[in-house]
Amino acid sequence: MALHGHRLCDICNKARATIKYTRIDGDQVREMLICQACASEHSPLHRHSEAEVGGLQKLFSTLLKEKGASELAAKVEPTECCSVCGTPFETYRKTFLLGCPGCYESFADALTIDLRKIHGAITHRGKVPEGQAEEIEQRETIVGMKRQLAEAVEREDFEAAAHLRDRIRDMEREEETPPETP
Amino acid sequence: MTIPLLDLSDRWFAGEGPEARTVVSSRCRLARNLAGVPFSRTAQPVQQEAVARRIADALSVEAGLKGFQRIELSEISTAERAILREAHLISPELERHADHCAVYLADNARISIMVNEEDHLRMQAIETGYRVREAHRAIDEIDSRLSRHLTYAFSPQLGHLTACPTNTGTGLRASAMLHLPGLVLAGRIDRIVKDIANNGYAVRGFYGEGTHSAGDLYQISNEVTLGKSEEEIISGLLGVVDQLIEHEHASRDELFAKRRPFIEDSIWRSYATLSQARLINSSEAISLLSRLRLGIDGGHFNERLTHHDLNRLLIEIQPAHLASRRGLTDADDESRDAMRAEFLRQRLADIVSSN
Repeated sequence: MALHGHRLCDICNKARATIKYTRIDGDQVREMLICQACASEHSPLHRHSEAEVGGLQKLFSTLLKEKGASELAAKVEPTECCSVCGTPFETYRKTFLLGCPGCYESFADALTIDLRKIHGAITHRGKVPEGQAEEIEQRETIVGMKRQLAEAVEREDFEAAAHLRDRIRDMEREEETPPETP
Repeated sequence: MTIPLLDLSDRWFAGEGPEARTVVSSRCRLARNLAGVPFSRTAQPVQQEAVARRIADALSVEAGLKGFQRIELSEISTAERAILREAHLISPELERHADHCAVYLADNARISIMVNEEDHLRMQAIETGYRVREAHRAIDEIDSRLSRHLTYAFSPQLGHLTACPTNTGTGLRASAMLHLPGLVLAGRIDRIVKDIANNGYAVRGFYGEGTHSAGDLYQISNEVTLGKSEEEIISGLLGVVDQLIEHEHASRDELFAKRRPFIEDSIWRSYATLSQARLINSSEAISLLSRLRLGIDGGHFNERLTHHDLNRLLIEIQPAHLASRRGLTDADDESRDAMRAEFLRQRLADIVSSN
C-alpha cells in the first residue's frame, strides 16, 4: 500500500494518492484516497482543480460522480458540433470564434482550458445584468449551499451534508427545467 | 446619405483633458450578446434582423438613450464606411460585414454602439485625454439601461458570453492611446512594450500591429476580461499607464536636457517637410506629425498649433477622408500622396496664420 512512505490510490493501486474522495450514498458515507489520474477520469473538474479549494474538490467529485459515468465520458472529448447551433468544434479551433452562447456548454471542456489560458481564471467576478439579477441570486444560493456542504463534509457532519446535497439537487433540477415559452 | 464627416469625430479631437501631453484618448468598450440567438457571424439574416430590431426597440424605449443617430451600414457607400472606420467610429469588422449592421452615435460620437459586429452589441465610450474611468462610467450606464430591456447571453459562472473567448466575462476592453516619442527616441520602447505585454496587457500601434508604431502612438489595453471585476481591470490598466506616463516624462526631460539641438532640429525639419512636401505617404506624414506633437508639448509653437489640430490631421490625412474631400471615391497611391501633401501644406498654413 505504500510507495516510499506514500499511500497508494484506492482505485488503481498504482499511483500516489493525493486526493481525498468522499462519497455519500443515501446515509452511507465512503471515504477514499485516490490519485490525480483516477480523479480526472471520474470527474472532469479535477483536471483544472489545482487552484480550487480542497473541500470543493471533494464536493464536486461527489456531486459529479452521481451524474453517471457515461455523461462524464461524453464531456471529456469535445463534442463534434455544438448541440444548439451546429457549429463544428473544428470551426472554433480555426477561427477562435464560437457560434452561439450554447457553444460554451457544448465545448465546455476545451473552453475551460482555453479560458484559463487566456484569463487565468474561469469565474466571472464582474457586473451582473440588471434584468438577470434574480436568477443569478438563485444560483448564488446554490453556490453558497455547495460551500456549506463542503464545510459540513470537512467537519464530518454527514447528516447536514446529506440534507444540503438533496436540496442542491432539487434546486438544480428546478433550474434545468426550461421555463415555458410564450 | 451624407455623413457630416468632421463633426462626427470631434470627440477625441479636442486634445484636452488630464495628461493630454502623453495620453491622447481613453476608451472603454463592452461586448454583449442577446440570449438564445447565435452570435452575429453564425446568425441567419432573419436572426440578425431580429437582433437589430430588438436593440433599436430597447434604445427607443429607454428614456436616457434617446438622441442616438442611427447609421445603417448597408445604406451608405463603401467610401463612407471607410470614413467611419478611419475616424474609429466603426471597426474594420463592421465595415466588412455591412448587411444588417448598424452603428448608433451619440454625444458627438463620444458614444458609439455597433450592432451585429462580431458580438451583437459592441458599445464604446471615448474620452479625450486620460479619462478611462469616465469612459467606463459612461458606457456602463448605457449598458445598465439596455440590460433592463434586453436579455443578455450571460452565465453566472462565466459572465457575459461572447463570440470570442478573449472577451468572455466582463466583455470589457479598457484602453488608453499614448504618445510616446520620448521612449521611442531614447530607444527604450521595445523593452517597455515587452514588459507590458508580459504582464497581461496588449500593446498595439495606432496604425498597424507590432512593436513599431507609426506616429509613436501606442494603445494599451487589458487582455484579461474574466475573473476580475470591472474596477480591478480598470485600476490595473491605470497602474500600467501611470508608469508609462512617468517613464515617458523622464525620457523627454532627459532628451531635452541632453540633446536639445537634436530634438529641436527634428521638430523643425518635420514642420518644414510637412509644410513644403509635394508628395507624402501616410506613414511618413504620421511620423512627422508625431514630431510636431512633441514640439507642441515642448512649447515650440507658441500655441499656434494645438493638440486639437494634430488629432484632427491624423484622421484627415487618411485615404478615405482625403478622397471624399475631393469628391472622389478612390485614388491611386501617387495622386493620393499628392492630395495628402497639398492638404497638409494648406492646413498647416491656415492653422499657423489663424491661431
